[in-house]
Amino acid sequence: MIPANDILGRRNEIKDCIAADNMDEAMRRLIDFIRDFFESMEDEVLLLSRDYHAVLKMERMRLEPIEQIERLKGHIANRVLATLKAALHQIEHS
Amino acid sequence: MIEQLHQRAVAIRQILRKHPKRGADLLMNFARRFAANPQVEDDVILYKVRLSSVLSTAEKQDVIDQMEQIVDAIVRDYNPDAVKAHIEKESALAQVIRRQLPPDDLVLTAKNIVKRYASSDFTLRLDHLELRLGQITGLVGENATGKTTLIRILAGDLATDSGTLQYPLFDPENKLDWPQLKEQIAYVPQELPRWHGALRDNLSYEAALHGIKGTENRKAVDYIVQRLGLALHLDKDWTELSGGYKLRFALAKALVWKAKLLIIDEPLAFLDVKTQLVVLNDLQNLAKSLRHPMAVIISSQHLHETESVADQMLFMRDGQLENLGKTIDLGAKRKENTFELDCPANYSELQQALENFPYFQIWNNGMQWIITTPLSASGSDLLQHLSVHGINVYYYRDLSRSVKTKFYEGNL
Repeated sequence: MIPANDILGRRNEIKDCIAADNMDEAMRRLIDFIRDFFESMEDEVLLLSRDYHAVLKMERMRLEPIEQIERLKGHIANRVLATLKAALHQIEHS
Repeated sequence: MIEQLHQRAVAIRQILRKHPKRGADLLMNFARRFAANPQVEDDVILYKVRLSSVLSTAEKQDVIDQMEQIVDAIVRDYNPDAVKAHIEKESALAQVIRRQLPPDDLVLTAKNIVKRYASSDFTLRLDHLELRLGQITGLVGENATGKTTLIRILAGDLATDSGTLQYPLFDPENKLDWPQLKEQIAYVPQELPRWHGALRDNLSYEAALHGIKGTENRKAVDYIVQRLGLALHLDKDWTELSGGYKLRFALAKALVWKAKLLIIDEPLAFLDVKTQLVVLNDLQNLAKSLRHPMAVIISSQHLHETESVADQMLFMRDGQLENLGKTIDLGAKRKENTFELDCPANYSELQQALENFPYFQIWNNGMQWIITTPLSASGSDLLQHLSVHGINVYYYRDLSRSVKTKFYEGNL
């Protein structure tokens, strides 16, 4: 297991989860990552998680065509990657 | 270096065409190591996500073409100085925010505990046990050997006959004011108590009981709901939830107020394999949190799964607790290797195949063969030897560093 204080290792783990199509795990690890290192971004990440679960709900209830669901999931993946980047930029700018 | 990069790029392009997902994995690693622009790695990840979705043949080819263009761009734009500068910049940023691992404060200590049941001749004995913040302790043992009794004692649910039980983090003066102390202990029993009403209200109530009110209460509930993936089940009641979600909800109730000691009895008992992994993974990540670490003790019959997350292991036999110490040190002082395997051979065929192999004992546990060997004979030596003698092994596990050997002690 990557040590809890290895920030780059933990970021890469999240990216690996997305690439492995394991978005549930990526989201859980993102929440832990932000809580441990970037507390000020916690609300933003919880909102992202809510949006992700809303997409899962649409998928489960077949509220949208599969193409649209997949597009939305891709969009969530993009937002997770952008959040990781923004978190590191936050240190740079501070 | 450039030549090697070109060769690697050619190989990735070929794999991308034959096995796009595997090629995308290789490209991701290639981008992580050699792309001058760090955005390239994220682009590859997004293309890989796209590959996992339902695509027409033309769309799939389009994604592969795009990834091939990325391969070309990485090689074309390769600049070792830029790559090095980027790595150094990230390392420097990581140093700025680097936090110390939290101290592994002592949460619970138990010494010379004895518990007898008047109705039977069962006696539980524990010499010494410590639970620390950030650590997971696995408690395993045969059925009816006292695991649940021990768990209930540690949770303050059952009194001892003698011995010392202390909770230094919550009760530094050792007053053992149980009503107050039990408020600090999150205990998830094997049989989950039924609750009434919706999950959301129960979580909010549980947080309020621990003094978390108003906006903080809503935030704490929202956090744990998102973290444990309960969002789709918030308005459900007990009867509408599967066993896995009942357990996750019980965990949420314990974690919503940021417990520092989590005692959990047989959490894996009724979960499917996938849910077991999710629960264990969650416990591991949450226990080792930098900001809110906790001490966790799990009793379980799932030996390998528990070993995979536990920092220390306890083994219970006939009421006697044996502290096996750190999981990474299990088997360090062993005198033999122990292997578990399954193959179509019978005892005499196996014995014949191993005639010239330095084994100590072959034993059948009813399902698999258990073979012990000197430390000089490794598992790969054993497998190779069996293969050479025409024995097809279709299940194999090295138990040499596993607590499972404790279960076989009387037979080996």
